[in-house]
Amino acid sequence: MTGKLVLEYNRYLRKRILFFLLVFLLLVIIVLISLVSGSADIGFRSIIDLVAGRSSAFASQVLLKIRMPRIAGAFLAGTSLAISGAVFQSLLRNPLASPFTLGISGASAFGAAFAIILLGAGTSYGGSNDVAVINNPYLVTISAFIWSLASVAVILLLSGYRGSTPEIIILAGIIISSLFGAGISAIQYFSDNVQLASIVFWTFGDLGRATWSNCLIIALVVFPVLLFFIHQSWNYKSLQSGDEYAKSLGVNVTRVRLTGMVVASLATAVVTSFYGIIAFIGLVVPHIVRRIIGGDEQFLIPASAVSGGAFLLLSDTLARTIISPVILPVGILTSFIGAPLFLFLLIKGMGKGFWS
Amino acid sequence: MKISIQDIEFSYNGVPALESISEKFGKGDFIALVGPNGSGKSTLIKCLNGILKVHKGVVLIDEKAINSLTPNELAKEIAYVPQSENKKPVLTVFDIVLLGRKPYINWKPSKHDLKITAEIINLLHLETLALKDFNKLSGGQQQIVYIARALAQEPDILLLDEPTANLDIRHQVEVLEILKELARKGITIVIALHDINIAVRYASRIMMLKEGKVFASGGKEIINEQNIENLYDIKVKIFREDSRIFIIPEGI
Ligand SMILES: Nc1ncnc2c1ncn2[C@@H]1O[C@H](COP(=O)(O)OP(=O)(O)OP(=O)(O)O)[C@@H](O)[C@H]1O
Ligand SMILES: [Mg+2]
Repeated sequence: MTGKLVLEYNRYLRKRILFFLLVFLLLVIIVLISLVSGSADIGFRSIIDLVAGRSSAFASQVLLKIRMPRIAGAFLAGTSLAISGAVFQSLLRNPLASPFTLGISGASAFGAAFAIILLGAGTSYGGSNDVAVINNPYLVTISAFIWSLASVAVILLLSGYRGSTPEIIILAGIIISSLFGAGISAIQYFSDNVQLASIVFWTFGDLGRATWSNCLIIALVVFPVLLFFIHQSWNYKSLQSGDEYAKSLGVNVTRVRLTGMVVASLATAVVTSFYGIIAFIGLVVPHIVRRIIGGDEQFLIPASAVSGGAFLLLSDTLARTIISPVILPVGILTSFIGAPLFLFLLIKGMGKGFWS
Repeated sequence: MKISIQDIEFSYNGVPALESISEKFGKGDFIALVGPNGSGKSTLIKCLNGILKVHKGVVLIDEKAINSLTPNELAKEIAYVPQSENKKPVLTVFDIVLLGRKPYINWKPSKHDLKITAEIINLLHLETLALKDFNKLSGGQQQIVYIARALAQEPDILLLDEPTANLDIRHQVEVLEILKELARKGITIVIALHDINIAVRYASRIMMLKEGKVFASGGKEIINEQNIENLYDIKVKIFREDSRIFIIPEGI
């Protein structure tokens, strides 16, 4: 009797694992498509040649130095933003929460610009392909992280108030975003022309800045963060029933919420400090995943990780090819897709329980 | 497990909700908390498992102060069924009952955790609902799921705040019979109840609360017209038949 029930439950769980595998397969396909799309004429042949060690110098340059780091960067950034979004949503029990809507991306971007211009962590070259060369990536990330904590503090303070609704928290997040947006503008105003060109980037996330070395730094943050979130998933699940009940299950609610928020903003900050603000991935991906496999964090977090990576990589591949040869910054594309979806969620949630 | 409440006090933002409460419950006691709305029943229950920190006094379980135990240790001893949960989790019934195993789970539930969950689901006849979305259940069904979740925690002390408020009479009896059986096995049950007839019928001890203070406490002998009338400020008639007691409200 009980055996049968456990069996049924396990069969039910298998559907969630199937989803996970399906997204993984999709990811592999998107990676392959992404490898062969772009202005340089490189097809599947060149990939096979590269693996076999007999590719042309040009093809291996393009693949190894440009396309692959960009793919890795897209995957890591998407993963990072999606798991942060999923965790923010769980911790605040707020379906509209995400790194972007809580103002944490904006604060991180400000922190990065702050370090580059005011703390001298980077030099920038003007000219046609204006790029900021970051001399001290650690300082930039740390500054992004510290500033992101400022917005976490505001959000936590506000959500501690009785009667603060999910909408009010998001409103606060949007205000924080525009405040830091103004901060970035102020830094721009006081910086010279050459520097100016480089920080404009931060307001539009662009994966063109992905290199193997910044991928490595992001990976070193994202994978431990992912493990941490998976380890915490039972705590997050307990919070779904409210703080009091979670306490009765032995969850140290204050500590779990605080550490979760800080770690999620670290994951946001490291991505934003290298690639700029990539909006809505952290909001939309966990939502779609929740819709398909349900709100169990034990599955939601790993599934969001893979889906987020796949989704951002897909968006970036589109952004690279949609109006080729012009390469659109992916942040612009995700905003175009994400903003209407966000509006849709907002309208759908009006006046009723958000989650169901 | 024994519970000893020693002169506790609790106030919400300076407004006292519990004052100088002292009480001792033994292993396997079935204690009914009764009293008018706002008398402090829910507050007392939350003080017993440390959800609320008492401002004065101490709560001991088996001679150990509850604040000397880690939250997780405490959660293995005491389970709690809240009066109402306005936060509705988006999970299946099985997942929610399994959540009761949380104090024993680190990364993922063991076979044993799943087995116990399935047993409890069978015990409360929730099999057909097991893989349904919790939010699609009726209020009473949800309440039974909450009770199941607390049972899955395998506690020595079970705190229940109005667990039968949404249940039909058959389910009320079913739940209370299960609780009585658990008490017989040595689990201490503390239950806040509005239905004083049910309280009298099932409880081995009755604790009457009024305005945050103990109004009366003891066995069935404290059930008399005068106590009930003063506690609730209404007129009642009490009928006794064999060993059974019936309390009928007469008017204000
Ligand atoms: N969160 C809170 N903040 C402030 N005051 C509270 C809070 N919860 C309860 N109170 C007050 O404390 C007192 C006791 O409330 P409690 O919920 O313990 O009563 P109760 O006996 O459980 O009532 P009911 O039968 O209606 O459930 C009441 O006067 C109530 O107004
Ligand atoms: Mg109550």
